[in-house]
Formats: sequence, structure tokens, C-alpha cells
Amino acid sequence: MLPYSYLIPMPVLVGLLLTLALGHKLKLKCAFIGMAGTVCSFLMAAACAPAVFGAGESFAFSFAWFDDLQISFQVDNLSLILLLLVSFLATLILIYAYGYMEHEEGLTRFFAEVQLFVFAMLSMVLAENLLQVFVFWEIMGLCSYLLIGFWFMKPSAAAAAKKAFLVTRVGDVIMLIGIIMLFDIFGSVNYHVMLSAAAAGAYDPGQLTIAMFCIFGGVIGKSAQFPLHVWLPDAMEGPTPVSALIHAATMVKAGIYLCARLFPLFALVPAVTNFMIVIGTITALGTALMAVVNCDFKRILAFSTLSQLGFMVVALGSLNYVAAVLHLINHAFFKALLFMGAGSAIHCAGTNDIRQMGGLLKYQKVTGLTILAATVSIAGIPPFSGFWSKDEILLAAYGASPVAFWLLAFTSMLTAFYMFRLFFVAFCGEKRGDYEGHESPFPMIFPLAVLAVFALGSGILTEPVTHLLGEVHMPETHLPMIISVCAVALGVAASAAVYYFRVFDPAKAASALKPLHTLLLNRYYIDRLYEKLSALVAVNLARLGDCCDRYVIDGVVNLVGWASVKLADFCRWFDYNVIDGAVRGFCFVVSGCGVYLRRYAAGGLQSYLGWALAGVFVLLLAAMGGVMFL
Amino acid sequence: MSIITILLALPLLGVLLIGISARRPGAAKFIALVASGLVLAGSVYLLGQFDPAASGYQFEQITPWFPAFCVSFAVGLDSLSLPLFMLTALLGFLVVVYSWNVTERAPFYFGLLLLLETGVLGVFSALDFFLFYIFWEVVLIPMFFLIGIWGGGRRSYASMKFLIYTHVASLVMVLAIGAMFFKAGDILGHYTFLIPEITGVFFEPGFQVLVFGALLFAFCVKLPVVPLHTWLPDAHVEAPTAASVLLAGVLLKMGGYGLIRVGYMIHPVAAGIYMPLIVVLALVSIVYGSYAAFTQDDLKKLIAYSSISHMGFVLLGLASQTEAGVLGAVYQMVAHGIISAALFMGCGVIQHNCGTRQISRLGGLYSRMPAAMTLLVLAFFASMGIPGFMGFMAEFSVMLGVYQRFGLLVLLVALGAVLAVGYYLWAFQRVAFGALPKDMQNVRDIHWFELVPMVVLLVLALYFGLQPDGMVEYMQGSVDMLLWDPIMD
Repeated sequence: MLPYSYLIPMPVLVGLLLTLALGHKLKLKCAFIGMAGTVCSFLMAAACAPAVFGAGESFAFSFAWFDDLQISFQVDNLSLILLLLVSFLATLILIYAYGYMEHEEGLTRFFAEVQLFVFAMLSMVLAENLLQVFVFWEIMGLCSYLLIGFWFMKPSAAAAAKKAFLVTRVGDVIMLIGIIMLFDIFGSVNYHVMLSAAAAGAYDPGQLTIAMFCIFGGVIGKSAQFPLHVWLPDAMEGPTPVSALIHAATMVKAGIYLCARLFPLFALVPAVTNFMIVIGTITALGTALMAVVNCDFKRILAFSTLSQLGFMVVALGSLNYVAAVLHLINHAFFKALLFMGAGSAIHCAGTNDIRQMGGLLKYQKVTGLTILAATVSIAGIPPFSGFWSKDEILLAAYGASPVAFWLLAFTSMLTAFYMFRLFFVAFCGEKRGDYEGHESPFPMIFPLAVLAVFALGSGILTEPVTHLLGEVHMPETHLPMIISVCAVALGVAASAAVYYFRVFDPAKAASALKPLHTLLLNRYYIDRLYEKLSALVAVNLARLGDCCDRYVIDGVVNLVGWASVKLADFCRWFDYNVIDGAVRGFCFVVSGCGVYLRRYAAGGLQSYLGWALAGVFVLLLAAMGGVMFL
Repeated sequence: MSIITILLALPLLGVLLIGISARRPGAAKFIALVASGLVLAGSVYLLGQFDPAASGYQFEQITPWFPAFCVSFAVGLDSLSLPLFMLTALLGFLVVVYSWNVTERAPFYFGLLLLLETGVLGVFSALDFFLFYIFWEVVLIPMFFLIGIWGGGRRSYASMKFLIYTHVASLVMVLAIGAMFFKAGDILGHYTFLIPEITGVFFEPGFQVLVFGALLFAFCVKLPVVPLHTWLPDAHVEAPTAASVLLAGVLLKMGGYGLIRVGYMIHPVAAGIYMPLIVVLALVSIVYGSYAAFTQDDLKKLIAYSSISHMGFVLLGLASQTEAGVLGAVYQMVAHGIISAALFMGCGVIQHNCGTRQISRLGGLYSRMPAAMTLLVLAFFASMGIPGFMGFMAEFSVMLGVYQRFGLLVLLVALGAVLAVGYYLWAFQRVAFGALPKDMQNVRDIHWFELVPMVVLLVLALYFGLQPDGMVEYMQGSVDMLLWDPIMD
């Protein structure tokens, strides 16, 4: 199977074409085409597994594309893990979408875009050079844009789609410059060329540092790190299966995957890895705090995704990319589960606001219990999956930066707190909203049940994945684990006290800390700042440019035109009055003389004779005068 | 007789036939369709016969015309002009299809389209400066009438502005050509207008600087480059859609083509001396064009400004004088030709079906015209340089060349790329998404004759975006020609 592994995304592409061709007839049944495609891709990837995981083989394949650039593919341990994960989750999410999207319009568009996304993601994972990564990276962004704006009649969805694409595009363009710089440094953007040249030390450190900063810029955009994190919470305007697939489980992980791919390059530039720790910690803590106060089911999960991505970035910055990949896998399972559960709960309650849910567990046993499974996992309660990878990350951070470690430990406590808050408020207590409780249909709860197994148990993958990706040196201490377990216990206990046993009213705490609460609810005013800034920088500058065009440049152009016309007018005036005037004046004088002289030429012989004599007289006089004078 | 001569004569023959059958206005579009279709078929045949590996001109024909003035009828194509010749033949055919429901003075209209096609094909294939200039002027006149007769409210202002502006530029070009004619005559010992012969002459640097300066002005007006650009948005706003398509698709490329063929190839030393100025002009065009696009309320004006920004890439790629940059510049000309044609067609669909192009008066059109909006958004994506479409490969290649030559100046180019996403998405959000205005409840979707050309263009943009090597093979020769460094040789 391995020699054909570059064909893994193809079934999805075929499915996409079939969907486009038959979509208007099949409507909801397009989901089956999609599932068939992703299942085939999954099976193809699984068929490669024995050779890659077992025998340690890898596969590379390339052909010429544009000038010096090639199209090249690579399958090794890391990419195969991602291929399996993406195709597996995509299948489950398509099953879910079959239930969730039942009553929607525009299903062909929906399924076609989802399949295009899966195709792009699989292709990006397979790509062996950065330019190709960039191509699929952008196509993913495009699908994200289209799917967030699926309900395009809603102004908020349209605005969120635009924001998501524009903000990530800022990162992407910076990344493109990084790719160009890497091409200049190494003469190629193929992984194997770059990595072997870097290992041999054939590079300029200063240039490489800037280049890697630029590449990380793309990661900041796609994996929604501070300061480009603002698009992800708004992206929740899209349909829930999209949130689960693209904005939790797969696309936002692309940045983490790329860093893991280029890890040897990043490891060469400490400035960038230190920067990663800073950015990751800020994102993890800052967004977890926002999750604590938010009341929108999906937004809490979005903030949580941001926070967990921050953890992964810290792991990368602490030079432990294995921990990042482990957390990537675990997070994909439990966050996809949480989003799909959220969709199920929202379907039932008819609102996104957790304050209006309450007591959902009574109606939704499967949804509630699976969400509980994901909650204990993400909170990091041993021995469930989140605990293992988070422990690795904290251990790595402990070795790299004590400050980051303590802040992340605090963030772990917050994670446990807000996740249990979500569970207690939405699923326990009394029913507060006005809705008919019912469990979701089978296609929606089946994927939840499957994922719950993985969310609880994927910790057992820790050993084999670490083995496949290679051991990383870690500090030999259990202190971080003890601290993190204590932090988690504290978080769960606090959450239970406030939201389950209701020891005191959280509204009081909110009003006591009103400035902080308002700050967090307004997302630190960063979004608003960006809006103002972009209005200032883009719109006002643009107006200035437009005015410059209309009044300055066109002013000059029109002035030249006006002056030419005026000059022409003057020429006409000059022609008429001066030149023609001279001609006319001459005519006037000549004809005037004629009129005057005519009198003396009236035909009288006597007068002619008299004039002739007078003439002779004058001539004689003149001749005489001349003679005398001489 | 070269096949190029036949292809140049075909549209003229069409004009003649339209003139003869002027009593039956309905026949005009069929005649135009057949004539431009034959040109397209002929140019595809040329493509098949063209040998990309050979250097120099192919399908050459040089026939003395006015021997007393050393003027000859000389045509031929090389790897630089062939893609542009093909592009013209393609767009010439597609705009005839797109104009299928034009009934107002139809014979005149289709006759002008065909005349315009001959002019542009002639500019790209002429090998004699005299002939080049004649075709160059032939292009102006039909465009002037197309804008002046079928245009919008301020059509007379726009058409006059277009004519005078570009005509002044061509007069400057004539002066430069005349100077080259006499100078080359002195050096060669005999006078000639033949472009290949003059290209072989090495002019002294002082002379090159003078002549290149004049040519730069002339071609920068055509390209257009900020601050010589304001004729373009006005012309686009007033022009009928077909004229806009040809204006953006091929007329602007005459500027780029001229700059390469007459400027860079004949005056390489001066091109090096003028490089800082060219870089500044190009960067200003890229950034300024994007910014100005941001605030336009007229969709067509927005696209016109984006054209200015994209043609800045052509100038910048040329200025970088690196393989990647020059290849990107040439590729960008074709890419922009295809993509901007699709953009203006999409814009035309909105204009025809909704009666307005004002972004502030549109909204929610996706629900009424899904096919048109899907095509429009694909054209937007292609234009903003999304990978997979031609524009990305061109922009990437230019950026690579710019980085290799000028380092982090590439950041300004990147700013242009970000802004492009901004103005396109902003426009699309307000045109296609949100609530539908009351007066647009019954707008109909795209007609078949508008759909077919757009689909063809987008498929081509996608094909050459995914498989650029097919076209690069044909362009490689022109890039090698341009990178010839007189100081190194």
C-alpha cells in the first residue's frame, strides 16, 4: 500500500466531485458519499500503518511543478498519525452532520465544502514541501471561511467569516515571506533538503531566525494564538459539525503539526522557541480566564480550544514536540466530542446560553454522560487521556521556564473549573429554559459514544506514540505532576462548590470583581481595538488615497485639461480679435480709402484734368526742390 | 504568407461582412462569433506549431511595405508574445459570447470589438516599429467609441480622458521610436524599423537613459502606474462590460509588453539605472492601489483599483531582474488577463441583473443568484492570490524575486496581498451575504452566455494554477532573453 499512499486524499476528492454532480438530487444523502470517501482514506492510511509503524519505513515521491519547485509527498510516522486521526474524525463528524443538518437548506454546498476541507487537510499532511503546505493551508482557510459563513443571511455569520479569513491571512502572508526566506537560505523548501542542510550547519543564523519567526507567524494565525486569536471565538457562528471538525479537531492543529514537522529547524533558533513559550502561556492563561466568565456553550469551548492550543505551543517552545503531538491527538478526540455534544444540547435546549439550559442530563443521558467523559479528560483528571499529555507538557515547561510552568499549572486549575462549571450549569440542577427535553437522534449520539471511549482511553497511546516519534529528554521529577493534580482537584472542588452545591452565588463574585469581569466579558477589548485600528489604518488611509486620486491626481489631470481648453479659447480669441482683427482692419482701411476716393472718380472730365494738372504741378515742384537742394 | 497575417486579417474581414450586412443587425453577432472563433482556433493551431525550445521569432513574415521609408509589414511571435497573443484571441472570442444580448446598434458594436481585437493582436505580433505604432493607435479608436457610445453617465468625460491620456503617451512613445530609428540607422549604416534588428543594436548609455525615460512614461500610463492611473478607474466605470474585459484583460498588457519588448530588451543599461524609480513606482502602485480599492462603493471601480495593484506586480517583477521575478511578471500578465476578465464579467452580471453596482445598495444576492455569486467569489479568490489559482504562482514568483534582490522590501508586497483579501471579502460580504434589498427580490441569475465565458476563464485560471509548468515552458525563453546582462557579457 505504501507506494500508493500519496493517493490517500483521492477518495475524498472523488466524493467531492460526486457531491457536486449529484448533490441536487441526493441532498442529505451526500453525507454518505462523504463518509465513503473518508472511510476509504482511513482504510488506505490504515493499510500503510504496518509498514510505517511496524517496519519503520517511510515514503517520498515528487515531480516537477513550477520552475525549480516540485510537488512532493511524504508518509512517515508523524504524517500517518495525522492522516489516521483526520480521516477518522472526519468520518464521525460526517455521521453526526447527517443527523444535525437534517432540516437545513444548501446541503450540497455544505458537504462539498466539508469534503474539500478534508481533502486539503489530508493533502497538507502528506505534503513534503512548504509551498505545497501553504497551498493546502490556504485552501483550508478558504473552506473555513465558506463554512463559517454557511448561514450567510445572518450578518453576524458573514462578519465572522470575513474576520476569520482576514485575520488568518495576516499570519499566512507572514508565513509566505518565511517560506520565501527559507527558499533563499536553503535553495529549496523540501523538508529533507532543509533539514539535512540545517543539520550540516549550512545556513546563516540571523536569516534563519527571521525566517522561523515568519513561519511561526503563520502558526499564530492558523492555530489562533495571541495576538491573532480573535477569529476563533467568532468562528462559532458556523454550524456545529464545522466547529467540531475544523475549529477544534483538525485545521487549528495544522500550525502545531507544521511546527512539529519543522521542529529541528525551530530547535536551532532559541529566540523563536522562547517566543513560543511566551505566546503559548499568554494564550493559554488569557483565554482560560475568558472561558470562566462566558455563558455561551460553544464560545466557552472555543476559548478552551485556544487555551489548549496554547499548551501545545508551550510544549513546542520547550523543545518537546512529542508532548505537543500527544496533546494534539487527545485534544482532537475530547474537543470534537465536546463540540458535538454541545450541538446536541443546543438542539435540545434551543439556545446557546448555558444559563437557560440546566438539568439536561435528565433528558439527554448519552449526551450528558459523554460530555462528562470529555470533561474529566480535558480537566486532566488521572487516568484519563488529557492528564497524560498535559502532564508531559507541564513537565517540559517545568524544565524550560518555571514562570511558564506556574502559570500553566494555574491555567490547569482554571480549565478544570470552567469545564465543570459548564457541565454543572448546563446538565445539572433544574430546567431553567422553556424547552421540550429530548435526546438527539442516533446519528448524532453514535459518534459521541465512540469518541467518549477515545476521550477516556487515548492515554494508552502515550507510550506507542512517544516510541514512534522518538524519546525527548525530560526532567526526572514528579513535582510538576503532583502540583498539576492538586491544581485540578482544587479547580474541580471549587467548581462543584459554586455551581453544584451552591455554597455561594457566583453573581456576587462577579459583581465584587466587576472591572475584571467586564474586562473578560469584553475579551480584554482586543477585538474592539483591532476594529478601531483597522478602521483607522485601512479605511481612513483608503479614504485618503481615494481623495488623493479624486482631488490631487485627477485635479492635476483636470487642471491640465482645463488649461488646455482655456488656452484654446485664448487662441480662438487671439485669432478672432488680433490676427483676424489685423486682417479685418487692413480690409477696413483699404475699403474706407476706396469709399473716400470714389468721390473723386465720379467721371467728370474737368475734375480729372484739374487733378492731373495739380499732379504735374506737384511733381515739377518736387523736381525743382530736389535740384535746388542738391 | 504567415498564418499570423491571416489571423490579423480575419477580424477585419468580419468587420467588412458586418458592414455589408448592416441592414440585418441580427447577423452581426454571428459574424463576430465566427470571425473571433476562427482567430481563436488559428491561435490554438499556432500554439501547437510553436517550438518552445527554439529561440527567436517564429511564423515570421517580413514584406517590404513603404520601402522609401524603410517600413515593412513584419509579424512574428516569440515566447513572450505568444501567451499574450493567445490571451487576446481567447478574450476576443469570449467577449463576443458575453455580449450575446447586446442589441443597441449591434453591427457597430460587434464591428468595434473585432477591430479592437485586430489592433491588440497586431501590437503583440508586430515586428516593425512603424506597424507596431499603427496597431497601437488602432486599439485606441474602437475603445474610445465603445466607452463613448455604450458607456454610462459620465461616458464622454471618461472616453475623452482615456483617449487624450493614452494618446499623449503614444506620442511620447513615437518620439522615442523615432530617436531609436535614426540612432540605429547611424550605427547600422542603413535605416530600419525592424524590431529584431534594432534590438540587436547596442545604444550608448546616455542615449538609453533618455529614450528609456520616455518609454517608461509612455508604458506606465498604459500599465497603468500610480500617479498616471486615474484614466483607468473612470474608463472602467463608464465602459460597457465587454470593453472593460478587454481593457483590463489585454489593453493593460500592452503596457507591460511594450516595456519589456521596447524598454528592457533594447535598453538594458538604462533599465538598471532607472531601477530604484521603477521599484518605488511599483510598490506605490501595489499598496496605493489596494488602499484606494478599499473605499470604493462602485464594485467595478474597486476591481479597477485592484488591477492597478496587480499590474504593480508586473513592474516589480521586471525591476527585480531575477529569474523568479521576471518569470512571475510575465506569468502575472497572463494571470491577471484571465482573472480580471472573469472579475469584470461577474461585475457585469450584477450590473445587468440588479441595475446597479453600488455595493451599498446591494446585499444578500447569494440567495437569488447562487451561480453568479459562486463564480464571482471564485474570481475574487483567484484575484486575491489564493493558491490553486494562477495569481498565486505569479505573486509567489514575484515575491521570491523581490526577496532575492531587495530583501525585506517584500513586506510591502505582502501588505498589498493582505489588503486584497480585505477589500474583496468586505465587498463580497456586503454584496452576497446579509439581507436582500426590497427592490431586488426578483433579480434573476446569470444568463448562459455570461456563465460560459466565466466558467472557461476560471477553469483556465485553476488549470494553470495547478499545472503552471505547461505555460512556464513557453515563457522560459523570454525570461532568458530578459536576464541577459550587457555588463556581464
